Amino acid sequence: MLIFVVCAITFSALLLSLHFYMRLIGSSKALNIIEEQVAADMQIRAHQLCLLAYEAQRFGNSREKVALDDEFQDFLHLYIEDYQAEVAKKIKEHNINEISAYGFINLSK
Amino acid sequence: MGTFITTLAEYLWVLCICSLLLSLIWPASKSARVTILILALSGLAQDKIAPLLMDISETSPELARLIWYPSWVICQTLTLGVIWFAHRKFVWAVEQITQFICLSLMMHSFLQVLRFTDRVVLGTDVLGGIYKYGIPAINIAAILAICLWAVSGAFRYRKELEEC
Repeated sequence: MLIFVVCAITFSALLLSLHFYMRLIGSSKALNIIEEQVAADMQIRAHQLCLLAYEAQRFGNSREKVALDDEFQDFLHLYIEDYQAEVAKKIKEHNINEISAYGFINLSK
Repeated sequence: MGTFITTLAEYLWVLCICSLLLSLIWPASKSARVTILILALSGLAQDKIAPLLMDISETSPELARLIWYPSWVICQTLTLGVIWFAHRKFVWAVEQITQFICLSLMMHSFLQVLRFTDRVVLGTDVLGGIYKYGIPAINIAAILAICLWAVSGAFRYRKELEEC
């Protein structure tokens, strides 16, 4: 009887550690896949951002450069916000419960 | 080689704490630092538990044999649980070194259960050698990875400072 109880405890502990391990590694891999997917979906905007930065560099110290720099910063902030929102949306869609926040977005509510 | 492994295993936690201290001089991630700290504390706790189990084996060898392996499996499970809980609570991204440490803890548990099944459940007693050198070898692999991570991080940080 004692051996049976000890066996049950030992195998339960092993299953529990497997559970912790899978949740820890699984959530991290799932997040990487989601981030890569969202980055691929937003590739056109990322290229536009690079072009805008390149254009801003070409104008030296002129007024156009300042305007392009401002435009670049606005575009970059919007890009980051949209990227984080899209990743957060996909995290919720895939029910990854381990992640309670992404960037500035709280997912626990 | 076998003696070398068991002798080296006794000094592993010193290396682990030294690596943790080294990681304080460069901006390492919290995930890695906390996981290494949990691993070091768990290792020290296990070093304290081992003599107690040895004492039990003097009075009741049968009982000691029965609780020896489950004790280590429970210790590893608790360690993994604390690491998982910390990452979940503070929303940390799981670092590569954290993944490696968790894998080593998992392998540790698996080997303990395998030996428990071999010695207590089936009574075959064929995995003695694998257990004797397997457990210290897993610990050595984890601590070496931590040392490499700490040293390479420090060198990378120094290089970045020189470039600035």
